[in-house]
Amino acid sequence: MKKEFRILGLESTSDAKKAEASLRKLPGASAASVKLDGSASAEFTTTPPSFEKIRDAVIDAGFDAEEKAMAKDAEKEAREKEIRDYWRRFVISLLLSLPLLFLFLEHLKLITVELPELVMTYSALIQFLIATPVMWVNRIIFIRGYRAIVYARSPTMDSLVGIGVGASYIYSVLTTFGFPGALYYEVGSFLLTFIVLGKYLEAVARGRTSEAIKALIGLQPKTATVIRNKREVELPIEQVQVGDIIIVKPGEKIPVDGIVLGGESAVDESMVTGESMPVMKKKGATLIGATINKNGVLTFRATKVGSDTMLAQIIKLVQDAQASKAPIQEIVDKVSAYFVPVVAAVSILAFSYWFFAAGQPFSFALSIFMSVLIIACPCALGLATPTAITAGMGLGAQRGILFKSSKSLQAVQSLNAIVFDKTGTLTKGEPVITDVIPMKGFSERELLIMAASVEKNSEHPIADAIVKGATARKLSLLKVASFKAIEGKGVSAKISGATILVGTSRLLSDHKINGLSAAEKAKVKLENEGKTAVLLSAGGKVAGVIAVADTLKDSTPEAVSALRKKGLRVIMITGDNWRTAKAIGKQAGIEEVLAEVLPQDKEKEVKKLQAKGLKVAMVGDGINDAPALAAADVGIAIGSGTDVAIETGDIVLVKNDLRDVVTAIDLSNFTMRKIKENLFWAFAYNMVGIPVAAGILFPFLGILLDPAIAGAAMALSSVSVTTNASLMRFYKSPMREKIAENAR
Amino acid sequence: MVKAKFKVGGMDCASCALTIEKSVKQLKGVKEAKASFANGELNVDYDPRAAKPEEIRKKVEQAGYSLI
Repeated sequence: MKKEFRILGLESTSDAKKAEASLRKLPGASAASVKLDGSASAEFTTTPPSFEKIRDAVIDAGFDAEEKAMAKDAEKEAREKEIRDYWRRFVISLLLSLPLLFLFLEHLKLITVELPELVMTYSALIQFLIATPVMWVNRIIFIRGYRAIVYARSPTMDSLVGIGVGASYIYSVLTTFGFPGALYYEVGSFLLTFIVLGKYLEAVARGRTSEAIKALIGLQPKTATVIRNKREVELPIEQVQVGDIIIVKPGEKIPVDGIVLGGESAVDESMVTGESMPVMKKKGATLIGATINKNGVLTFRATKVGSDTMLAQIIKLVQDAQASKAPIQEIVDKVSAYFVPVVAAVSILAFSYWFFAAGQPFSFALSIFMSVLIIACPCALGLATPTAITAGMGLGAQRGILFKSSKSLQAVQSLNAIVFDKTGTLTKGEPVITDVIPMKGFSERELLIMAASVEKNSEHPIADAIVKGATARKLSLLKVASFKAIEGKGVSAKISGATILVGTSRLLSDHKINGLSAAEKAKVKLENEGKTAVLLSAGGKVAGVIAVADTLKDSTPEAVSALRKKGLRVIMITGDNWRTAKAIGKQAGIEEVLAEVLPQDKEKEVKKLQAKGLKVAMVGDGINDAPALAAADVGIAIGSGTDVAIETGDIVLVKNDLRDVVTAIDLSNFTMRKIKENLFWAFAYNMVGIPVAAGILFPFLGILLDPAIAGAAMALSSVSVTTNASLMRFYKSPMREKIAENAR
Repeated sequence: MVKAKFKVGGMDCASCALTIEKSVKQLKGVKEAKASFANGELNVDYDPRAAKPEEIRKKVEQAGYSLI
């Protein structure tokens, strides 16, 4: 017998496995399956234990269970149903309210109407019959508004609308059935129509702002071609396991993360990293699930599946970040919490003033009461921050810029200094040949071949750079004999009988090589440029100088100058010696350099800057810079391409491009500006609207705000806030950029 | 302590999120409740020995919303 239910409190796949194990231990259980989304089932060979027993076992494992099977796509359906439901309510309300339109216009003194006598006689009753169904289809507003007051003791915007419309409706009903007064049916009906329209537009726009996430989720491949029992089988993605050997043909999506075992192909990673150029992959390269294999066949071993894949982690990261509250939001929430009761008080005061003190008719005072309640709905206020944050983070995700929380987004705008780690952040992180200077009688080519042939046997980073440089230039290396490494000085070996020396000046002079001065002069010059240079001699003659250096990333100078233009102090931090550090700093356009800083002291340097009152961002490659990233006001982890360094940094840059630092900062500022714009409009609107609605202008100008107009204006204000947020998708980074079309 | 995540239906304004939070927090055994309007999500930290998911569901429904 199979039992289906739902497990709560799962945060990772290992949690799901733990819960699964606890189910398997139940008496009579033959199989159990728990998915990360909480859907769970267990099969029993005997009569299943009671749900209480099952729940007990699950609780013991640290989770909870609910006896309610999960429907597939429940969330999507609920969201669509919500939108459909608003639309249906809007259409019904509108159609019913339309016959009341002429009354409404007359009420606003825009037209005068002559009606047939029969209609006039039964006018009140007809209006009652029209308005009542409008109230009925929108009853959820009254129910929620009432319940918010009763159960949560905190009135919401539904409460305000409910009281306002409810009062007008009840008053009209009383009038219809004999109580002396006025009719307000059309006001209530139109008001509800506008509010439902506002909610409909809002729900649609809200669905749109999280499109970025939806696009990411849509990227997930459905199947994989796996080799099982020496045969290729197509499996649903859920069944792929770590260690599986997977084949990807040209044009196919790479199903999960892994390491290439064979084949060669260009892979389009733009959808995950934002990098628009395809990346060449061959044996040993890491693959990211959901990226597209362009032209070759790749065989790879799965290293991460399910919720552990990079894409799944990015999705989770962005979702969590979007759900997090920015400090500014907390202030807004506090204000909103006080706002509603204050408005309720203002509306009662206004009513009392006009009715009791100013001696206006009851209907006049009631109309004012309603207008104040309606215009003051803090709806736009509540929407202002989350809509902009969701949009801003979505924009980031498309560009491989991941904000870990709303807090980091807000922290960026107060930055005034930015510290860069040198190696691997400003520079490529691995030395390459920068200069080859042959002496008389030798060619550049000869020099490189000799150096690389000898250095091939050495494991020094400089040797590595020389060999790689020669290979890149497609030079074929020579056979070497009697290789010898001389500690701290260099290496020696024989090529076709001639002794080759590669190393320091000391190495050469020790071997009695003469005529070093020209080569030495070149070496000093190169070293002043921050490079590391080695001398080379062949058969007792000086052959030349080769320099290697860790070079700047192409994007570095551009990014640094853009940051300085933004008025940020740019500082470089490195463990290298002052000479190299200054040379690199000069190339990058950074004047402030902190050199010879031990890795463990980087954090202290960041704190020193903060002690001077600076708000500091630290940019590092996330592995060895973790403490400094954590200490900084904003930690930016860069180039964590294949293994999202989620633990380190407040902002994670997937690509290894420094221009993304500029975009991240710009995007944060852009988002915060949008939030402030939204808040300003929402507040300004209330600040102006409430006094006018309360009738402040009436004694002087005779201006009153009709409740239905207040309703329309309120709907408009929340629509304008959400529109402002959805317009954010036209954001352009100050850095030239090309976003892959499919990442949009 | 279980950290459960629910999707909430009908949460259409920020003050609704506050209402839902407050309603759920009234339950015994619930330590923390955070509703996010932007995501339509409700995160509840509670002691499963003191509160049941059905009770959380009922509280949310009482406030006029639904749990998916």
